[in-house]
Amino acid sequence: MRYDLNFWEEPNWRRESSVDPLFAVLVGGCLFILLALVLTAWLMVGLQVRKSELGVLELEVEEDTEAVEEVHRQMDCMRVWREALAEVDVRRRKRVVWSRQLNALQSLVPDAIVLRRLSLSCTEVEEDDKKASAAKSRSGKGKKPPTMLSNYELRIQGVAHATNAEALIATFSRVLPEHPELAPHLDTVELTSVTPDRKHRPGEGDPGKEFMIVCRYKPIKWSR
Amino acid sequence: MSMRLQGLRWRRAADRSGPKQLLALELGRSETKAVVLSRCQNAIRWERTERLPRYDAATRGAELADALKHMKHQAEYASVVSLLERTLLRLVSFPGQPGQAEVLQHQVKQTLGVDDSYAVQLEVVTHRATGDKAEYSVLASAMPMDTVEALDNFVESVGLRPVSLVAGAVALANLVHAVPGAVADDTATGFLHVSRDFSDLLLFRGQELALVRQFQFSEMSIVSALMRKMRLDQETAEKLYQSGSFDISGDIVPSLGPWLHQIVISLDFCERRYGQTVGTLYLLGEGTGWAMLEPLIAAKVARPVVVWNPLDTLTGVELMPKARSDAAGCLLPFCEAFRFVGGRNSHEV
Repeated sequence: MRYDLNFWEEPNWRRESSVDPLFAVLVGGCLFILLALVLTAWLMVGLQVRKSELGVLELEVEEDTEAVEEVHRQMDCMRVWREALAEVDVRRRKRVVWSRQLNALQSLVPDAIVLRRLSLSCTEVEEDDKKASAAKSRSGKGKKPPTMLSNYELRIQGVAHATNAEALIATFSRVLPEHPELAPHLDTVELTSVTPDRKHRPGEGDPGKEFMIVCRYKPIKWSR
Repeated sequence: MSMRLQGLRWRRAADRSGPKQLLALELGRSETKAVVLSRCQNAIRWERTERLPRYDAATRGAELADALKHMKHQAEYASVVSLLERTLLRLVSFPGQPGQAEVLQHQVKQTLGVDDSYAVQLEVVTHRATGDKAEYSVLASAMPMDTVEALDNFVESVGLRPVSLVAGAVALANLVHAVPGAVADDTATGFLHVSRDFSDLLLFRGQELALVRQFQFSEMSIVSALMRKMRLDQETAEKLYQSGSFDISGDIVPSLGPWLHQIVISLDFCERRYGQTVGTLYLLGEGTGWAMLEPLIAAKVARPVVVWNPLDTLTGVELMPKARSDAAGCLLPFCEAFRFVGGRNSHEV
């Protein structure tokens, strides 16, 4: 038996056995501060990591920039060399091997024909082609160097001493574009004049016929 | 706040059974006795006893609070056994059935002669019906409300949590019930507790509390008588009383007379009322003057008087060195502390 004549209210021991609320508040506060510190430290570490990563990236970008500049420099060099090659190619294509032309011409000249004068002229003009103009406008880029055309013209002047000199001259002018060495280059062959030989002196036999053949070569395209 | 932080613990020193450490104070009129009891696993330790300055209501116990500062780290909770003036305890009987709590409280207040300025705690201890007659007994304790509040504030000001405040005789009754074999079903037993400031008489009929008497007479009454009769100072008179070397019974019998007479009246009343002789009267207290008092009381009450030390029968309580020397004088606070620290096993010492 127990006489419980207590003037005070006895604590609720079930509740008293819990963790001290003041202690819980203090621990909670400490944990909050600790958590804040950990979070701050984590953020600071993250920030430092990002900074170092940024530094590495900046270094890489710097190296890449240098590489890109090098690539550009090399591309410029390549462009220069390509232009040089193109120039060489143009010059190659522009060039007609006249020795071969002359050899071919020599092989075609009949015995009755004497060549008095060979004159070669070249006129260079810009290509005046609508297609080329349209293509130029479509590209929209800066002005390209104009495409040039080299028009070669070979004038053959000679004299034929034969009974059928006119026929011989005609035949000569006809076979010129058929020669395999001349055919690829020749555009037109025109017998422009057949006249009596002005230099014939009386009493020197067959007077002969003077002629002039104009051989126009195919234009050679090139650009500067 | 600083006071709260000083006593900060991660976990309250209590579990579902009760506090793990408790400081019990016996507030007497001349001194305060302090007992610290602790529980670890199932072992109960009586850690220490202390004699401290008395609680002075005028200073709100300032001197006692200072003295308690070095003890409060040992316990978080405090119980108080009040031996202060105006603390009343009565066992009163009423005919019929116990009424509602408010009605019963009003009846008790009328019987005790106290007004609403008193706090009253009561407990129905017996209820019997014989034929068409019914009767019940109520153990009632009353204390001025301002004293209850002042003591509550005092305990909290020291940094302790108040657990219980009881009258001294209540603690004594609980002590009797806590000691196995102290009262038997088929006998009537008396317990006379004499201390420095007061004396209490409890009579048990079997296990039932049959009578409670509080006396102003105490050991200090005897010392005062010696001082008057022999013209001694207090210190010398106390030593003379405690030594038992001289036969001073002739000098103190006159002062003992009224008190012994009241004891005899109480015994006779109980025996007539219940028709059962009180076989043995047990004496307990500090026991400083038992050698002289025991034969005088035995001669007056005409029945066996035995000096009773409950500590002899205490098992399961480990008496620590700091408690051993003064344990017998601090039984009441020990019992009140044990009531809570002992938890569910407090009835089986």
